[in-house]
Amino acid sequence: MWPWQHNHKLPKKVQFWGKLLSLSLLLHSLVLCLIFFVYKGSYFAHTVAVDMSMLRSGAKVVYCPFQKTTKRVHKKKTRNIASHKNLAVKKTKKKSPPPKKKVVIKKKKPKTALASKSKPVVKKKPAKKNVTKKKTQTAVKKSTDVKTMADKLVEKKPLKVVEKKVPKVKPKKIEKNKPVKVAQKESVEQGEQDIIYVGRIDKDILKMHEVIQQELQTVWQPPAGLSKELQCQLKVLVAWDGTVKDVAVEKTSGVVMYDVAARSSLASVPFDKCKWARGKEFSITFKQ
Amino acid sequence: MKKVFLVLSLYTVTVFADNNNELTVEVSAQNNAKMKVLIGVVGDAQELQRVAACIKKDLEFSGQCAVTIQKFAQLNGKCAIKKLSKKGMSLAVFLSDAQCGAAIEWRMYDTLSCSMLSGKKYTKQGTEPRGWGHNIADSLWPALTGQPGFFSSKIAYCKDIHKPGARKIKHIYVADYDGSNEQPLVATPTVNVAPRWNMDKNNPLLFYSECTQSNMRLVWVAMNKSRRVASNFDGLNMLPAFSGDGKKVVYCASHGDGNCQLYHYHKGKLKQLTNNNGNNVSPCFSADGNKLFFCSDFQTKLPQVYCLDMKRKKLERISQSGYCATPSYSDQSGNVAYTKMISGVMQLFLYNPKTKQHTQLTKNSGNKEECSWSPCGNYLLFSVAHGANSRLACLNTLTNTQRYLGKKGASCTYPSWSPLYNKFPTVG
Repeated sequence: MWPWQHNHKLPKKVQFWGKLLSLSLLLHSLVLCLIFFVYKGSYFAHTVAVDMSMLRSGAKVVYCPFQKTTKRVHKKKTRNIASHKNLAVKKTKKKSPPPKKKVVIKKKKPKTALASKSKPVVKKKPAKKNVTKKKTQTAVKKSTDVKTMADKLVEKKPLKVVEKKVPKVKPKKIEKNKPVKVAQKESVEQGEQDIIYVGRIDKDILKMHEVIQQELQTVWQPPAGLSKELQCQLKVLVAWDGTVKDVAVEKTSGVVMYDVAARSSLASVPFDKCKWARGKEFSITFKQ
Repeated sequence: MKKVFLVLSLYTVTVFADNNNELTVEVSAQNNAKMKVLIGVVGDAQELQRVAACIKKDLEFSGQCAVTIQKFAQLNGKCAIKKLSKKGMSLAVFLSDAQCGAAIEWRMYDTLSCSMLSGKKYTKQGTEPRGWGHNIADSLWPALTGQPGFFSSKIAYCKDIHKPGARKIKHIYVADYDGSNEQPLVATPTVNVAPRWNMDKNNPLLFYSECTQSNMRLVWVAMNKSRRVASNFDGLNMLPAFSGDGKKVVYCASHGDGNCQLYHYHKGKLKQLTNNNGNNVSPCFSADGNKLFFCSDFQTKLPQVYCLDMKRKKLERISQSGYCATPSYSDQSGNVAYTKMISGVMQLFLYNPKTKQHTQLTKNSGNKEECSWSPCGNYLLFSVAHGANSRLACLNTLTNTQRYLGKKGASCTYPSWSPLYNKFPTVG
């Protein structure tokens, strides 16, 4: 039946793998053909999401290049943070004798605008002061250059535990140190809450979001004199050639003029310039 | 076979793994632009052309639409409408004759989706194509903007007439809502002032005060110019205000004792509402007819705006300081507009009875006097006085833009905006 069956020189293992490979190739091509004919080669809807309200809270954004989306990253990172937290507590117990050393947990800060705003809390040694200052200065310079929201997502490294020597503390003040430890733990928990983890796809979406928003803002011009509370939501499907394939009204404003203005504004958006938007479906909320 | 199945399942998992997400973009408007609307006249009827011209003028009045008129021999279905969207027209309204010319049919289309948004058959009322156009625009406007129309309404005002060698007289004129097509309604050789419209939807009447040798009597005039005296007491008989149902009337009369008081006329009985040492003028009813807003100077010797609860008989002072006059209540918005003197210039103010907040509407030069609301509650009609000259103006409260009505040079005062009558009022 198979061509290699006639050739008896081939071992059975090779024959099996040959069969499997050819079969999978055949099936792959079949499925691809199927997709091609079903969608007629025009588009393949690929929709993605990021909760934008999270970014408005002013929280720090951590970019995780090895993760795709936030949901997965969130689960894993919370575990990581939890393990880090345990480690930190353990380390404090093992390494530092309570009266002499004070443990401070420090997050390594991103080199962007977000990082530059907050001042460093702990400095290791006086000799390294200049180095850290230089680093912050360069970070500030970079932050002025890069203003886009998507580029805020730079922080890549996980939390680190840093120890700092504190000037001698008298053994009588041990009791006073106890609440300090509690405060440290609280700060760690707060830090966890403020951080937003963003994956690879999420970063792309943020970029896409920004570009689309910029393009739309130049085009979206509703008629004057309508209520300022009006808003309508449209679902747009962009074809691979950058043209608007389909527009559907998800939530109407209740005013025909407003809805029509929103729809017609989409016709003049150059989606062919936004390469991220091609072949994708997304919702747009038009506000006054 | 098992391995084949494994390969297949792996493939499908990789293809459809990331398709469960969504992206939402929010956009806020930075600028405003006019909506391009096409009015398509289907057929060759001259009347339809005039109606289309009238609708164009009406839709463009608010500054929200840019309208173009185009003739169509026939409406060739979706292809013709789709072509319009490529020309930049967002909406298309097609007019055609119906019922052998007794009616006009209009249909509004969304050109992008080629879908009909709304449509109606309008049976012609009266003989004036201008009136048909206004009526169609009134039915089109709510479908378009969600706001009530006002294009069939009229405005009335006094116009100074100067004749060489004769004393100064004032005539009552009536015009369309935008000041066009003005026609004299009362042209007697005396001073005729303060016109006010009645609220009977089927029978439009205009009440005004006529100066005689002994008094200032209240007279009403119908659209066919027939007149009759409504109140003829000594002194002033002026400024009637009608409740929404048209059954209650309040007007001011002095009865020759120097102070102008408010009188309530209901079911053939006349009842005095105010009794104080001051002038009580410019009454206007609230939407339910239970509250009466008016202007009086009995407390501070400067006119202030008051609200009288006619059921509880409670008087509430609305304006607390300054020189405030001529309140006007809007049934649609529920707000009271009045004039107040700011730095020596009368400006327009808005009072919200719910929040009890006052907002200044105008800040430009010229004394604004005698404001009156449009039936839709979005426009204010008033006169702007620059020295001896006075001109009518209209303020769009949504966009806060002001435009003058009528021709320059004529001195017009006491404007009053009519309600929407069932039939477009025509003089004569």
